[in-house]
Amino acid sequence: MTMTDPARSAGKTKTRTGYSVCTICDIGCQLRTTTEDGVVKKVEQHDNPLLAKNICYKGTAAPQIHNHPERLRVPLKRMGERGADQWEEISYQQAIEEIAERLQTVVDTHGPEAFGVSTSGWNTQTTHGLDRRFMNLLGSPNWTSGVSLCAGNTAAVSRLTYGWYTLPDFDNTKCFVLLGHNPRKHSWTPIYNRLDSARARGATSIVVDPRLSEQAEKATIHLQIKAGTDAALLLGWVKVIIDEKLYDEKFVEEWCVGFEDLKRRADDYPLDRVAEICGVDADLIARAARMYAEADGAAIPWTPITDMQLDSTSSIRLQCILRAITGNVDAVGGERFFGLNPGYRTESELQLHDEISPEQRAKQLGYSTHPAYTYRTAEILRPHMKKVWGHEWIDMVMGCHMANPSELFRAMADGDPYPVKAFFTLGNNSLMSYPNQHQILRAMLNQDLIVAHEIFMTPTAMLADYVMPGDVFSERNHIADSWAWTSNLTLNEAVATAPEEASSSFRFWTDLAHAMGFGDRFPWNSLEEVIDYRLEPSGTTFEEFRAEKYMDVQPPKYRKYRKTGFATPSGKVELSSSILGDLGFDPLPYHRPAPATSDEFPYRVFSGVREDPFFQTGQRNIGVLRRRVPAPHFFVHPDDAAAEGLVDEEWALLETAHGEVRMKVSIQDSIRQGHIRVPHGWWYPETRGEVDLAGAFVSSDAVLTVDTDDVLDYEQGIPHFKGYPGRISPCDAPEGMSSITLGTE
Amino acid sequence: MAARSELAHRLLEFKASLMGRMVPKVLSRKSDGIDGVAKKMAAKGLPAEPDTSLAQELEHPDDVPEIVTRHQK
Repeated sequence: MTMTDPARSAGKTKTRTGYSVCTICDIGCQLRTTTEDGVVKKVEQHDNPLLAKNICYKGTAAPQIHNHPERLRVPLKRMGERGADQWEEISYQQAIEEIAERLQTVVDTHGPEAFGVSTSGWNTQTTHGLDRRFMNLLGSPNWTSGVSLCAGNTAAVSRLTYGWYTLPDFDNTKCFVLLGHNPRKHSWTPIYNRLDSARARGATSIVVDPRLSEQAEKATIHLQIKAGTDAALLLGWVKVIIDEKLYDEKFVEEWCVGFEDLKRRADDYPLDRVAEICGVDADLIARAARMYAEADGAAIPWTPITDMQLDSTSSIRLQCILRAITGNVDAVGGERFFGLNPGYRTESELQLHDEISPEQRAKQLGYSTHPAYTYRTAEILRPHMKKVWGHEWIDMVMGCHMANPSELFRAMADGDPYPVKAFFTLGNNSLMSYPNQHQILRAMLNQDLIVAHEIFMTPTAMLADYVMPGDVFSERNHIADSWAWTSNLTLNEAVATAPEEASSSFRFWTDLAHAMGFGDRFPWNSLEEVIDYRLEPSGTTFEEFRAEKYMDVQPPKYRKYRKTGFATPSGKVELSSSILGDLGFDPLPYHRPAPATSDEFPYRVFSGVREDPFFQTGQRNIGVLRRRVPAPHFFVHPDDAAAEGLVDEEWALLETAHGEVRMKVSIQDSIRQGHIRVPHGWWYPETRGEVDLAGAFVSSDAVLTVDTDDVLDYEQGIPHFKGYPGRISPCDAPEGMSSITLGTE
Repeated sequence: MAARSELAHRLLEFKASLMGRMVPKVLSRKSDGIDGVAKKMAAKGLPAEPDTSLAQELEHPDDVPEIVTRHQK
């Protein structure tokens, strides 16, 4: 077997400082990391003043994370029952050989589609598309990721409307709209900084949020809507903008199709109806619509909120439609189509999507039921992507040819529509990262082979057969490309020494391919070699890139569609989507009411909310971060708290029709009455060994939601996280909690 | 946006493109020539005094013990 070099070439000098792209969250701040004898000692601000503010206290906790005493350093093999959390330490080579053999058995027995992967590219970074390459060569289409309900799905749905995905022209915008998104100083920091800069230049802002969030406090207009009613609100905006002729008539006439259909649909949403649905004053809705439409350059930055709703596809498309009819698409101050960096091969090119047969692609879970981000729509878009962007397959934000995770876990649990019996999870605590956690547990308990690739033991990894230790950003060379969201390239330098038996995700997939007999399709021996290959069109190598710059930024080009058209079937912005129509869905956006509250479940619960010290389910074991938020909290309005007998900082039980979780209560005036906010991804690493799966079912928001068809977005199959019925009552602290959680340290 | 004329579009695009061409110079490792001039120009647009409050927020106390598991191997 050919084993590639581990990412541990650096660390020879006593003290070393290098440029880094932080991967502790998904924003990718540029920092500097200093090591001594290969051990991370300090992470600090970038020395370029343009980048220096892009840092948060998660990033400066990198030494505590990378050097944590319980970081995984050796491959582990399960002993005893699955989930018993008993392990044997084995060598990397033994692990790869055994995994290859067992995966081959699953493929031989059930077919290649019986192999599923869930990953988070944000965490693993160095895959370079080789996971999909591996799967495509093997014949499995069942790759999924957390991006299926966060950003990746926005990219895929945006392509239905205008063939690409936008990013705001923050430096020139005069107005921005935040739909529940709340970038803060220590969460989505670069976006926070750019929004603050825009405000300082005089930009107005509209914040749509059931909470008086930090961004809402600074807003010109705050629309405190009922959770989950964004689509109705935006349809109201469309109506105002059309009725008052605030749209860009020239752009609409020349570059949009379906305007009259859209107008008729908007007529179904007069402001009095919208006001009733959203619970916000009609005049304020109209004022906000005018402010957005009349600004000389306005942006609607990406938001996770509309990625996780019952009518997510419509909500995302409405944002695209508003950008288009107001003339803000690829315009100065509006939203840019960055395009691809011509000097860097795309991950999609390395993924080899033509290697998997159309028959196997059609087996992708979700392909026939909820196709919006699956191979099915990607196949329709192929010629149009080729014509406009030069490539048939472009995997924007990793999200444009994914399997549906709910269907994947159903197949794993019940063999419906076919069995999936091998599951790999990389940088992705899958058990807690998707809705219906109980089903995911059943799915995992029904597997023949589970492999986890992580830097710490997680509840998901505890259920695995093999746990492979991963590397971290200080230990590897990399050029990050933001997965086609922008065309920027960013340098990350290896300055620390990785654990001897740790592997980058690049190394893992490459070595597994060699072990399974198709290593010749993985011709790169090191990360630097694969980066050199990707940089080949630029005529530079990794070393040359590193010597010259820490970032490659392409000069902006606007309104490129005038030369190429849009990458849609019509070549125009499809206000009425021909693809959705052809697939049997409503081609126009609509509002779909969330499950109604009742006497039994009187509150609207919204979950999936991020807290500053943590990214997704991570970092609860990092002392300096956990002590900033030692325990999870429900946010509850004072009147609701009084009605339910809840006490600030005491424990409460939140129940839905599907599950229950316990957290502490935080009574806050800022939240809309009748709403309860639930943070995402809580478990208790310190309880491992005493509490089942380290408390994965105590406070995890994924327990509260299900993914049955009646609560899924039709087009994508996205579950509803923003406004589902629940009830809350006081309770005792859960058993087994630590003094950190209980606040008795 | 509906009111932006073609001329206004072009003027804004010219200005933005000009600024956009400076950015790679600011983000290079070179400090001489055009890159050096670009860096000096960019620095002029930033506050003279660094934001010390941010530095304080970024610090972590040294005496916080790491959180470890109760699991026995």
